[in-house]
Amino acid sequence: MKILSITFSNLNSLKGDFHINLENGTLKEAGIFAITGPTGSGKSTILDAITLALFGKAARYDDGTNVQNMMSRGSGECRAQITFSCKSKVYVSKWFLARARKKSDGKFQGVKREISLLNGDVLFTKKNEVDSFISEISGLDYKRFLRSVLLAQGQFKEFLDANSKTRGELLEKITGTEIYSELGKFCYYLNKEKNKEISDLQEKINHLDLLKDEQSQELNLEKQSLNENLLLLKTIIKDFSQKEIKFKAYIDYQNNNKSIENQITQLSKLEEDYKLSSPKLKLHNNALKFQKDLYQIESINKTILLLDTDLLKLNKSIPKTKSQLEQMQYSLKNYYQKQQDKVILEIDSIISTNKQYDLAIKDSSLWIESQTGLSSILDNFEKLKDKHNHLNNLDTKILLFEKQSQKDSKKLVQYKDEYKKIISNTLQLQNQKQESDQKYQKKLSTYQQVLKNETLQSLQIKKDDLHQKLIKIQESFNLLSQYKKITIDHSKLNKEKNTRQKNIEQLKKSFLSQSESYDLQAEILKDKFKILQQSIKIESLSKQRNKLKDEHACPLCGSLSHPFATDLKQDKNEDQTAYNQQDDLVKNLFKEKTKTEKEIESIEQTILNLSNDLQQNKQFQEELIFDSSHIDDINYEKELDKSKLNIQNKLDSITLTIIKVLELKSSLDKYKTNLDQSKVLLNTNKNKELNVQENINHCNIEIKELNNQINNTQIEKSNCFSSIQNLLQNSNYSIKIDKNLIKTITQSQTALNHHIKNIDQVKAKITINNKDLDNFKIKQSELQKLTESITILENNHPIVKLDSSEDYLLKINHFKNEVNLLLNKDKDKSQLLSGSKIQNSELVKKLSHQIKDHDFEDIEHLKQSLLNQSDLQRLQNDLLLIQKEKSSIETLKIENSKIYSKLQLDDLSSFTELQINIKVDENKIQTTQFNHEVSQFNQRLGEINNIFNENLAKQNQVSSILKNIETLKEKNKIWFLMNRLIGSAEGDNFSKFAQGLTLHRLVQIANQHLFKLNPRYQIKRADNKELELEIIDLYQANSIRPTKSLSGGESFLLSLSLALSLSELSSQKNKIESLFIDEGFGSLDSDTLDVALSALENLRHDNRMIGVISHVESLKQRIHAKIEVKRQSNGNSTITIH
Amino acid sequence: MKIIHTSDWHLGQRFHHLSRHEEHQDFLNYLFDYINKNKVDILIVAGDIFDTANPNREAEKLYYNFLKDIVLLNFCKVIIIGGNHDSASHLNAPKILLQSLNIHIYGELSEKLEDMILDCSTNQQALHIACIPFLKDSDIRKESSDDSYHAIEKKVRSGITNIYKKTSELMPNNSINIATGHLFALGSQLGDSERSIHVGNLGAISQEDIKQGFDYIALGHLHKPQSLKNNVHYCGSPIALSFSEAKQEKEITILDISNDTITIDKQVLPKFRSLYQLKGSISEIESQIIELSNISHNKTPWLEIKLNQQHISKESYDNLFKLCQDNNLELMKVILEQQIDLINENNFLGKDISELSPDDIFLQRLEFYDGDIDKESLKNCFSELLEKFYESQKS
Repeated sequence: MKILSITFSNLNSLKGDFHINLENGTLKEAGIFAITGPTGSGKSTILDAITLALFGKAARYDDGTNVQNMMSRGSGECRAQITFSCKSKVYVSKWFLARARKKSDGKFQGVKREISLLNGDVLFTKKNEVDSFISEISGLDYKRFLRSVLLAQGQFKEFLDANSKTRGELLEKITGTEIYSELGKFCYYLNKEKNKEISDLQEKINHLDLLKDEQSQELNLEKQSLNENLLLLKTIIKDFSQKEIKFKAYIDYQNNNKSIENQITQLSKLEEDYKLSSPKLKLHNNALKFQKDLYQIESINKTILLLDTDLLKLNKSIPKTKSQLEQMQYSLKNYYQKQQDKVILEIDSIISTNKQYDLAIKDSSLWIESQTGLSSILDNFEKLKDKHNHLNNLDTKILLFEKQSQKDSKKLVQYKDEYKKIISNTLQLQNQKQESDQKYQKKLSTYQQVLKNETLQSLQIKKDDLHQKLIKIQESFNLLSQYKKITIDHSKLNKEKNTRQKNIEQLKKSFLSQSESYDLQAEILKDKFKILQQSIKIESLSKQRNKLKDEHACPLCGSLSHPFATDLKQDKNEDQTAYNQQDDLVKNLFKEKTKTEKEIESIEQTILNLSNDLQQNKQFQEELIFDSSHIDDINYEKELDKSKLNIQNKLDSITLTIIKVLELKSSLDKYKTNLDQSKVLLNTNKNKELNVQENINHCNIEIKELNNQINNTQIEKSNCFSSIQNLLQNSNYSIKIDKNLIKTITQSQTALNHHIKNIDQVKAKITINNKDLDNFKIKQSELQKLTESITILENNHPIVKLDSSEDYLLKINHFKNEVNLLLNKDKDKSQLLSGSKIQNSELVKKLSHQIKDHDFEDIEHLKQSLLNQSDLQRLQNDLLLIQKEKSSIETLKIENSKIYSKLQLDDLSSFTELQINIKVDENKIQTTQFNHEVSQFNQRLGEINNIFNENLAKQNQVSSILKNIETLKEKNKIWFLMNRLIGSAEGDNFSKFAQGLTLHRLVQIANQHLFKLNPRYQIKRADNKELELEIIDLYQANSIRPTKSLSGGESFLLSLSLALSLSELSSQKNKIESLFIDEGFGSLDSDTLDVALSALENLRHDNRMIGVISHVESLKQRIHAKIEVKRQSNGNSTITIH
Repeated sequence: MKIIHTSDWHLGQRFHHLSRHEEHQDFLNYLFDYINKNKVDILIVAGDIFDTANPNREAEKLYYNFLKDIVLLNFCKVIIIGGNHDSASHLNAPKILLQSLNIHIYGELSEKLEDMILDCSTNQQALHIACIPFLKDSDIRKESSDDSYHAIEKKVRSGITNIYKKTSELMPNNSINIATGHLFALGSQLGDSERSIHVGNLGAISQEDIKQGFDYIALGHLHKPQSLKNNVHYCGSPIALSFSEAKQEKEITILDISNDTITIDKQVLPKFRSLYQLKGSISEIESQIIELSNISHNKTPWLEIKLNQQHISKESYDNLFKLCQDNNLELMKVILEQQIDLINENNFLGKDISELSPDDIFLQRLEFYDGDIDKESLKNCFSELLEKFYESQKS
């Protein structure tokens, strides 16, 4: 954006119409201009006009409502208008405010705004539309514009000097980003609120009133003593209870003693009862000794009984088995008979088949006999076969020969055709040859005619001679013309020589006159020079007059007054010019003279040259005349012409003949070659003819030979045929002698062979059958024998049908074995029976003898004396019971006495039962007393435990609250962290960071400007994360200094570059090409001023228009272009641009 | 006919914090003596008379005193053209007055090109000089910010060559024709101090384009004296204007014109003040300083030190400084090998804070946080905070 012109009227103290053109004239030319004027004169009003025209606002009337105050007093209207270029288009923006009827006391009317193109096309007139359009094309709103076009340089001086916090605030203001400190504060308070919840909970814990440590210690002590007392009481009570036990035990002891005695009496009764039944038991015990023997006897008796029954059964089963055996034998016999019948049948059948076979053999023998002739043929069969094959071969041979002879005759025909063709060809060629020959002879004769008696070579020599002659004649011609030319030149040269000589005479005359006049003038010049020298002398002398002063005596005349000293004549110049003119004249004359002299010399030289030429010419002429004596003769030339013509003609005719001869010769050659070719052709043709004839002869011979061979083979064939016939006739076997002869013979042979084979086969079968027959006969005799043997067996048995005789035999054997077995068994059993009976009687005898010594009458008595098991058991039980009772009573006695000794009941043996009972009672009373005490202690203990339990519950509560607090803390941790990141009561934490970013960017851009302004410095943000700035002096080994130590010039450079940087930041990358830097230079020493101005100048090179608003006198003086605002006596101001 | 061609005086230049006044004074004295002694007919100053458009009084005084002395000689014509550092209007202000004193000022291009041609012929020699000053943008093109850099450069170049071409067409035929100029010609060598004179602003001009029709082009703008092809010549500045020029031999160019031929010669200028550029380690530099102290100087030499190390302690810096002081040397510049470049420093935002939302700023804040709570939940928390904040703002 670039502001091109500013037009306004009636704004503040600037009453009237004003126009400032920035695009043309002084201001544009200068690039940098100053806006100067005393404070309050209206320097800033010029800037106000710009913002009014663009945004309808002015710096001091920001809110818009008071814009009216901008109108100059006593005016009816005011306006502001600027033209500006933006993105290569030019716009006009207007602002207008009027009172009613444009009178100074009229009411204010509404503000009018307008933006249009340079050509007057109005774009927008509504305030909002104008505002948005301008900010759209320029990227600037009012605030941005103020920041980027109007640089308050002082603001940056302030910015540079500020501390970190103030700098942050300034940055906020500058960038309009106060939100970050607000956010920081907000975060801080939010976090504080969150923390309150936690402190509330903490309070709650305090209210819970937990046991203090001393309290719990006291209680613990009490609890301990109680426990100790309880322990003591318990031992006492234990003592008492032991005593009581002792008493009780004593009473028990006594009671036990009584009951034991009772038991003893009961036992003695039982013993008596048992003694009554003891003799029976004794008898029984005696009998027990023989019990074994008794059992033996009884068991033997039993086996005897068993054996008896078995014998009976056996005697029954033996006859049954025997009958079965017989039955078996009968059926075997039947079986044999049947087998025998079968064998006989078989034998019969074999005999009959044998008969059939015999018949077949007979048939075959008969057939063989019928073929008697064949066998003789077969004997000679190989011979026959060979002959027959030979016959066949002969046939094929004949065929082959015939084919060959056919081929040969064909060939013969072909050769014959060829031969005919060749013959005709030869005829043609002979004709051609004759023709060629004739032509050649003709040509030859003509050629010879043309040549006559001459040869080609002689002609050529003649031609060359003529040619030489012609050249000679031409040379003569040339000599002649040269001679003529030289003669002409000679006369010319003579003429020139004459004129030159005349010329030179004239020149010599004029030279003489010239040298005379020169001498004269030279004399005059010498005179004039003398005059000049004199006049110079006079002048130098008269110069001396200049030195004469009044009142001083003249050195020549001694006069004190010098009336002619002042008015001096200047004659010298006239003399000088005269001399000069004469000098020029003389010089000219001299020049002319020397010129003429030179001319004469040159002409003389030419004349000399000419005479040389002439001489040479003459010599040459003489030479020519010497060469040919007739050179002057005119006839000579004519003669020359004639002879030349003659020779030329001759030459032409000879050349023609030569050409003709050459032509003829070439055609002759052609014919000759033709003839030669014909001859060659004829020869080849004849050769061909001979070849073909030979071929034909060869073929004929071949055919003859073939015919001979065929005849021979035919004879052989008939011989062979007859021999075959002979062979066949010998064997009486009628067969056609043809190609199939061998086939039929071989067929018959195979039939014969078949029959012979058949006979052999049948014979073999018969021998087999005979063998079978023998076998069957043997079988038959065997069967007969068997049948006979079986008939010995009994006949009355049913026939058992079995499949084979072996089965029958097996069965029979089985039954036989069984019968034998049964018989053996019977024998054994009867033996055993008799043995057992003998043993039994021996045992009875022995036993009855033994028992007599033991009070038993007989064996029966013995048996009875043995008690049965239940009685015996009962008696034994009774005995056991008594013994048990006895031992238990013993143990009871011992135990009782043990208790007695153990409890030391002796002490009590002196007391009566009553006394003891009394003691027991006393004991009880005391025990209850102690127990009461114990329960009291326990109660207290319970109380104490309760207190502890309650405390524990509270503690749980506290810990849960604490947990709550923890979770809350965890929940708020993020807010806590957030607070740490960005929060602070003053809001400067986050702001500092945000503005740090701004500062970083600002510094970076500022450095770009600073580099252009002066490459010596760079600005750097301090490393401590504060918003502090440092300056790096690249020319002092990159030394870093704080901004507080800057010199005036440095501070100007830095603040200007920061201001430019901000301008760039605010303009959002739109290039701002108009800059107004407001004040801020302060009092500048000349050094600083130089720095500042050279910096500004560097800006100007960036194609920017820079207006510096200042009232610093030195600056005003240094900047030539100015907009000067002057205040007038009436309070209004005027503007002058210069 | 003798002509002196000089340029780039940069009167009023401040070298760092020091004034060049004395040196300029010495130079002008030298120049005056030379002109007087050699009876120079014409003095051409090809731009950049002053260092700034608004020079200080001392510089102006120097300038006018010099002109006065030349006027008094009464045989030397002076031609002064505006350079890019000069203010055309400032130079042109006394133009008419000075013209009557045979001093011809051409601060800027006149609308009529004829007015730029000065006839300097004498009885013996015809000579015309086209006094073309530094050509400003407005002289050569109608401004249009739409143009790309290259388009502008092209326009500038063609504009400049056009002006030279048109002027050459106006020059008389049977005369030696000279043109002046203050521009950057292709094939020339740049120094440090020209960097600030915005060489790129006016693109490099091909010498062939401006040479046509002229016998000699007297150029200013570059500080190193250099002859290009075809008599296109930079005379260079009379004093070193930066340490990079310290070793350069400075000169004024002498043209001798007779019988329609130009002979070019130079007069090497004395060093009015010695400038030294020392390079190396501290110890190396210290020995160099000692060496320097053995040379006699009529003015305190100025020193630039380029240390081949990254850092220097305060103590050694002070020692160095004192050593210079003790040996009567003015230490003006100490440069370390480590180049601090805060301009191209990687910027993590690249945006103006007012373009960024509080969320963006908070994200930046998080860049510096590395606690145990994950950033995502912090971000969410911040959004919650913002919401609450805006609500509280409403109520």
